[in-house]
Amino acid sequence: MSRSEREIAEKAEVLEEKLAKHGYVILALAVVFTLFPLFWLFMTSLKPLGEWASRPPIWIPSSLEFKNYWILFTGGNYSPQGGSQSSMILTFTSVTPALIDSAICTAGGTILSIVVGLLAAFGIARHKIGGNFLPLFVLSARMIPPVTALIPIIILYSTLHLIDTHVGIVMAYAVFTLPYSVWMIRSFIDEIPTQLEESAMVDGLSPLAAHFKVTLPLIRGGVMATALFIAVLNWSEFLLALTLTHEAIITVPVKLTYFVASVAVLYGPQSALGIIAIVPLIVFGYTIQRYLARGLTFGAVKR
Amino acid sequence: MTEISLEKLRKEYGGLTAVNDLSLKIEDKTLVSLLGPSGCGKTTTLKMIAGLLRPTSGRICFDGNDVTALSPKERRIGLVFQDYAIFTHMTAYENIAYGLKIRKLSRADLDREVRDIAKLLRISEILDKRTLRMTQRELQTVALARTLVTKPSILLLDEPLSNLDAAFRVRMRAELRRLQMEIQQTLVYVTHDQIEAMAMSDKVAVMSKGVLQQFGTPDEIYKKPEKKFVAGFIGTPPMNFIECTFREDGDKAYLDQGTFRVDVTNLRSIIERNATGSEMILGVRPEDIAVHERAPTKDAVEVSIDSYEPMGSESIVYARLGSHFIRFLASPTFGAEPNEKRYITFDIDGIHVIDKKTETCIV
Amino acid sequence: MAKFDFGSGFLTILQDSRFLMALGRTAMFVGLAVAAEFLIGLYLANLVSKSFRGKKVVFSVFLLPMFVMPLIVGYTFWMIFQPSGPIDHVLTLATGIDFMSTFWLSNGILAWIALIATDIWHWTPFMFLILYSGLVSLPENPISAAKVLGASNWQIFKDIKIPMLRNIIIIALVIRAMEAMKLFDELYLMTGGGPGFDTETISMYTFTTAITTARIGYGSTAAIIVLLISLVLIITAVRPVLLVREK
Repeated sequence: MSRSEREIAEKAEVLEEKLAKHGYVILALAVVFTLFPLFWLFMTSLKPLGEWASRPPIWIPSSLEFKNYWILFTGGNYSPQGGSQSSMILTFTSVTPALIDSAICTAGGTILSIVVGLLAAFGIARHKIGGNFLPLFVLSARMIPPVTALIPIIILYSTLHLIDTHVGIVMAYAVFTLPYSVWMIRSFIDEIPTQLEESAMVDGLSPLAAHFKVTLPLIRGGVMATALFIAVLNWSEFLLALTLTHEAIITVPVKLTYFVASVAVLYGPQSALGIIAIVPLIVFGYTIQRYLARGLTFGAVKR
Repeated sequence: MTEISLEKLRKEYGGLTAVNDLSLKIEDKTLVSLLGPSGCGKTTTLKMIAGLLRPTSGRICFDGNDVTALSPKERRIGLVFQDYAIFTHMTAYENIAYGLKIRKLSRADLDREVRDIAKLLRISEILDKRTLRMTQRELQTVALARTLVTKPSILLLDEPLSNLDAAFRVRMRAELRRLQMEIQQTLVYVTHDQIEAMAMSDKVAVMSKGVLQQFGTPDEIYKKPEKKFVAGFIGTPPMNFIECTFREDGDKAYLDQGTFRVDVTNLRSIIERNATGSEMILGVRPEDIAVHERAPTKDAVEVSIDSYEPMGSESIVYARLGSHFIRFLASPTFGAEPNEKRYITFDIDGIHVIDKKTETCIV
Repeated sequence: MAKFDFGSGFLTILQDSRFLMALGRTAMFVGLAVAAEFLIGLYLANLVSKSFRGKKVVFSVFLLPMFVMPLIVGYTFWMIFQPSGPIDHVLTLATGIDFMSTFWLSNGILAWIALIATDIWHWTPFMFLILYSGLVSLPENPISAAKVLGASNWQIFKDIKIPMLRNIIIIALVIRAMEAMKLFDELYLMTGGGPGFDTETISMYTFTTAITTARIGYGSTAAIIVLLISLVLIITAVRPVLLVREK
């Protein structure tokens, strides 16, 4: 064990507080509250048709209706349960195109955001472009409700025929996540001393090459975390997808709203789609979180 | 006002033993220094005395009472950190008052105590100052005041002067010692600065790599080091170590270095009794070496001058003896070109003979 | 070539009671939700910072809600707050009073409770994460000093730790408040601003006026006002942090 490890262990021991009995109870309660909505969503996704909206509500389905899941991919129709209007049938198409559209928009938006963000971050961090004003200006894009920026975008897109196109969505996603991209990558760049690039430039590299060959490899982890963070945002994005697309492109969040009709709600498949949609988010989230937890000590001394 | 007794104190972290079976008795009303290089376990020991760390094994007793299981609060100790650990969001007054506030002193009593200690330490004017604007000197004094105002039975200081400028450090050293003697406080002082420890302490505990090397008065440590580490750590400039072999030649005994030898006949019996072999290290302090332009006796050793530093009251001279580098003191008017030859003699009464294998000082 | 008309749009909208009500509701929502998230997040962060088994698992679980798609959060809580849904069921079982026909989302006040509960579930992890990071990176020496002076864990928490976290707390509150103002996805799915306009916040108002009813100019004006308010709030809140940093 090295000296700094010993210092960490000492600090952990000095600051250690034992959790009181009532603390355990509170934590258990908090865990239950945290997991409950997801539990409900998951259970509902496995409920057979009759159990979707019963009184009293059914907490655990009597049988696991996996049909709710695979029917999403094939498309299907339902008649409302026991309704008097027995002629009403709810139809929905396969969600596969929606998953693909979401994947394209997410990936495209993230890549564009990262690329532009990298260039902007290097400009701000290394070349002080825009002085004090530009960084705050970029950040201000996050301060306004997206609805606000949406209005001019709609007007612009109508004119440019970008409504309901992949390109349109990708660009819009990039714009809205750019503040995160720029600020997060910039903070990673600031951690790397400039001497490394300077010595590379003395060896003949241009500034741009120095940025990408010297500093970028060193901040790879941070850029990855930023990309994952932005991917989570893009995948979850609803408002822009709702307003800037009509029929050609349907992302998963928008698709989710198609399972509601005035007569009934297809809870089963809808919940199943919800579960499918959040699985990548949870995976991404844990990957980011491990990166976040790197700086937080859980206590270096094993008991 | 309290005597501290450490009994076989041990602190282990995974594979590392930070403090290794330390046994020490710190007498009531004395100032004892824990001295050693960084990583030697002195701060860890201090934290165990404070109650912030639990020893892996061993006992700590205050006045004969086992306090090993007590919390810091219950031990009634005072602690000053190297970085002062001032509460930056409070004023000086609030910092000093905090311990008393916890003890639920009345407003009037609290105010009186704080102002009294501020007057004693001469910081009455800065009591309302925000700590963010204070100088290092002010912060240090406030940290001290904060501790003293709770009238602890034992005061623990962790390198309290190392962040101060040199001039103030010397002054504070004397201040602390004076204060300690005046209020008759038992004080444990952690430092890596041996000059500080030697100047202030009643007794010094020298530590290295978690092990206690020697515990004695500054005089004992300086004149009669028991281990090579202590001999080399104490004293400025540090002691010279010259490797040699113990040889007997008829009725005389020598320490033979190769290019010269030192007559140690009168120490012969002590050496023979305590040595584990014949590999020795000759330890000579720079101040016990005299330099001459011409060899005064035939025992004088020839050295080649490397460089020298005039220090005002004397000069420190660096010279080469065979493959060894040695340091010695000379008059302030000393002058020589590099590679010039000079002759040195040792003060035989001042030499130390160290067993190379056990690193123990035989003489 | 359109005319630029700066004044009249602003004047009109500032007299529009629907707009002002939306503004007021947004302020109330942000105030309540962020305050609750802060307090709960702080409490949990302190709890989790202590030592116990299973700490890493609990930490991961607590972060989970942050990563769930807002729309799905809205959908799930919409389901949960349905009449005869799990909430009504649990309340009925717990109190013995029949709550089974309580329709949360169609009742003004109950709808707000549901929305605030939803936001708390979704975003307390954010507060928790920031406050936890702050807590565990506090320097050990001031805390040790307080311990030696006799402070209990609670006293250390309120006298030492919280004041030392002041800057982090301010930043967390500002960020969260900024984001809370923009609440849309959950609101759209759960109440759509209704019943009537009872749960209409600024973002919903802008959306409805600009996009649904195509009064783009009007909607833009509303949006600009919100932007100005945000800027003012942020500047007043962040300035004390920046001033302290300079020292």
